[in-house]
Amino acid sequence: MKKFISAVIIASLTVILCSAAANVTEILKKVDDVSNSPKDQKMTMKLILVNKDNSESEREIVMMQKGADKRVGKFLSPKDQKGIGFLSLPGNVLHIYLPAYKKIKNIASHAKNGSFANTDFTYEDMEMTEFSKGYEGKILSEDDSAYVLELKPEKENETSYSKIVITVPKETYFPVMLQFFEKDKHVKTLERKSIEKVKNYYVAREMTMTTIKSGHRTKMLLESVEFDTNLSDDFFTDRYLKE
Amino acid sequence: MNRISKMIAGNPLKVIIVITAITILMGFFATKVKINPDILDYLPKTDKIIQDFDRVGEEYGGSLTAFIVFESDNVFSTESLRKIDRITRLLQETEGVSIVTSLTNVMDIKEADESVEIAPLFENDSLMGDTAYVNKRMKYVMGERIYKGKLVSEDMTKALIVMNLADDVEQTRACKNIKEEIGNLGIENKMHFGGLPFFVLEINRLIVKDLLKLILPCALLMIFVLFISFRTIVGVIVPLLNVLVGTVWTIGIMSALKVDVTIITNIIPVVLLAVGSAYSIHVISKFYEELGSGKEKREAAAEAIKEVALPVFLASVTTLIGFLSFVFGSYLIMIRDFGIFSAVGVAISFILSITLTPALLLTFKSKAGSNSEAGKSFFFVKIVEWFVPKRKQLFIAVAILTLLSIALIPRISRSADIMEYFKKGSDIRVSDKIIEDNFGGSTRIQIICSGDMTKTAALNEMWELERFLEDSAGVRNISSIVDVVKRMNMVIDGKYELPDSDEKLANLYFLTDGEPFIDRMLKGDKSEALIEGSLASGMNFKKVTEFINKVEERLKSSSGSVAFSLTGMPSVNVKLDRSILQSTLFSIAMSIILVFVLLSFMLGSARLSLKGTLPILFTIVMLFGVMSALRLSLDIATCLLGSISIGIGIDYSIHYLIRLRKELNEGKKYKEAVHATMMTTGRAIVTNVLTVAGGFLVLTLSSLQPIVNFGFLIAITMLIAGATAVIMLSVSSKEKGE
Repeated sequence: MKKFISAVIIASLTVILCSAAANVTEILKKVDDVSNSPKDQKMTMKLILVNKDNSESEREIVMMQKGADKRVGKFLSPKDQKGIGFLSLPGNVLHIYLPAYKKIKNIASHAKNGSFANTDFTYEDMEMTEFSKGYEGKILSEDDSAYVLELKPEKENETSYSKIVITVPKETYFPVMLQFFEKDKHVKTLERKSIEKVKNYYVAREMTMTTIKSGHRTKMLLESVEFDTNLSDDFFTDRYLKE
Repeated sequence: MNRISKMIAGNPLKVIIVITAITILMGFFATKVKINPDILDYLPKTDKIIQDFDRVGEEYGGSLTAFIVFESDNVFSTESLRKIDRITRLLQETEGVSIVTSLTNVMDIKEADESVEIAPLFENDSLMGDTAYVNKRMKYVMGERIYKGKLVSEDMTKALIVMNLADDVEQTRACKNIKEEIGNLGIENKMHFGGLPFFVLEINRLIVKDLLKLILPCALLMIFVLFISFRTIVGVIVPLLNVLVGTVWTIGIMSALKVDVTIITNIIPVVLLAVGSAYSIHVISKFYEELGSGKEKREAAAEAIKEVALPVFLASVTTLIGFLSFVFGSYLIMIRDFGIFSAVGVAISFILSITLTPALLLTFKSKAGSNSEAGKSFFFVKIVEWFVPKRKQLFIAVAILTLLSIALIPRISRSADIMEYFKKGSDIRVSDKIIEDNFGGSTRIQIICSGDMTKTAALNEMWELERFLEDSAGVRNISSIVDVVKRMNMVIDGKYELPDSDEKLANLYFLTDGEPFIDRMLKGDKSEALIEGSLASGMNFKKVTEFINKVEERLKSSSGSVAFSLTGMPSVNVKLDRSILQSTLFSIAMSIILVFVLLSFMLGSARLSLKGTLPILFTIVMLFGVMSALRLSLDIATCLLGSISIGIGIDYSIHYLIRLRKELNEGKKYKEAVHATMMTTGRAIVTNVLTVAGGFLVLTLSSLQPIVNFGFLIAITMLIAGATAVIMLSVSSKEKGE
């Protein structure tokens, strides 16, 4: 009798745990589907860098992305950054084009953890992340409108973050807040606002990344976006960077 | 005065109760007093060099640099690298530390397989275990001038860890944190701590150690002298109580007014010991004299107060003047505070000497002290009386000594070098020597470069200045954005030089923007950059001044688009020195003039006043002559000497003159008058001189060199002042028969 009851308890717990786990996996898959579903995108963005004394500087870039891991961008302004381009390809490839030198340089792989154009975003942050692969998740809390999930990278995942906490609205599955941790210390927060649907895809017109320690923040304003225009692979080459 | 003295003598118990009540109140405040050891807090913020220094602290991650030298047989061994890495990471998290740079985390810019790499020199822990990787890195590091001799010694046995301290944490606390955290790591390798913040920490430790070490001998010595003089317990206890109560009141007032105790103001108790005991001793001496002449206690006390009040009052006012003269002459706020609160302490000591002292004398059982009995065998009388007929010879001797001293005075060395605080062979000096021998020195200078740093022309101007600093001014271990840009250009374009266009420079900035190590070198909006370098710290004062002047001249003559300002501790020190010299001269001049005027007024005769001032003038000249002869330098502590000596030393003249005049006015013949004066006031003076000199001599046991010098010099000064006053005044009065 005792054995029977233990067995039932263990079985029930297993089912509950598994379903909880399954629940997280499902949620993450939905998140990825929503965020990473466009086949390609072309965007013009304004980056506003705000110092802790509230002084600002601006950059304007045009960026194209194909799939999850090909990205190319060029700076349109300010004057001293116009023409600088970057190309991110699978296999941790990152090329920067320096127009004054007319040269393309590879940036070493760990440099993806470095700041992108002196903003609070790193090159890594600019990439599309697949949360359902490479992360172990658990639900921290849940209410009527949203889930709060804690994601820890799996061993093979080369990310510099030890943990990411994301707030996922139940309506859209488009994360509105991501908190990044390094060594369990909260280092950055990304907030997404003005969420709209463009051609069936969700976009955030305004994204703000704040670095906790310095108080510095970067606002990324989406000025225009086009989805699924069948971008050619030719855009994602060094030759295009140099144009 | 008659009424007051009778009132005090008539109500000793009431007086004691009131004073006790005030003491308890003051004691309460005194326990809350705060100690601030940070010299930098006391530099006036209106000074441009200080403003620049503060700015470097606020905008570039800290103006104070501390160092740790890590020793091992080979810093490139896996074990050592890992330890250095552990230490570096720990320090980055330590409260009070803003930026840490070491072999394992310094950002390196290099080209590898066509890639540009901006990464820490040793990327991660596991790579440190890869011997081939480490060997490659070692060859690279030892071949690069920006690392060899800057972060690792030439013989590879020492690694330097550089810490910029955060501006918002008090530096000694930050250093304590650092030492504690490092201690907890349990690493066995030898480590040395250096740089100004650690020096200040060590000074504080020594000050506290000193205070504890010196209080007992000081007290014992004073007790001994007082007992020898008065031969009664009361004669010992009362002056000491006077001093104790006076000190408590003074510190209580400081605390109530929210004034911190600093490395200078902590001398105040010692000064009060010397001064406070003097007034009390004179009252006691007179009291015993009156008792000895047959008066009853209350009468004796009233008489003592009445007779002694004037000279003691004059003495306290002149001493007050000596201290207050600091308020006007001094650049350092803490010296001004010292002046003000010493003056307050003196005033309090005076009040207590005519209230508490007689009250206590009346309360305790007093028999007539030994004033009268030992009189006939009073040794010092014999000495003075020996001098009296030898007037001419005495004045010739005085003239010779004066001229000699005056000749020596210009040779006094000046020092604001903090290294001098530490005895040779002490840990801190050893550390400093290691840093100097292997890493270019622990004294850092900074030059703020204001201009448009997006232009290569601005960087070129910086580069020229750096060349000058290295070649002509002996600055080592120079770092700035110029070097970073050159290395970036090397990686992109193959040439180790500044780019030839502003557009190229903008491209390079794009690659390094946002890297934290750039924050130390370049302001975010690129309107300003910082050049940093090391100076050998052993430089004596003269060399530092020469260096500063040379650099300032070069900076003034630069005519390009960049404006340069020099700052850093050496500049601050030179400023400090100039101010010390000014303070000293000004306060001495002020003291002498004011004392002379006051005395003339009080004694009713300018000639008498001049006579009273001469011994102390002679004493001051001798003091500086002795300093010069013994090569003791004029520094923060000794600069106070001149005025303190005037203030305290003039007291002897005052007491002696007033008493001698009184004796002569009573109709005594000259020799008799001198004898009578010596036996009474003279005795008190000798007791006071010996107590004070003895008390200050105890300071020679200090672990801090300037305090040793200070104690020794004051003791000498008191001895000379006392002897001179008594002898010269006795001798000089003879001819006029005054």
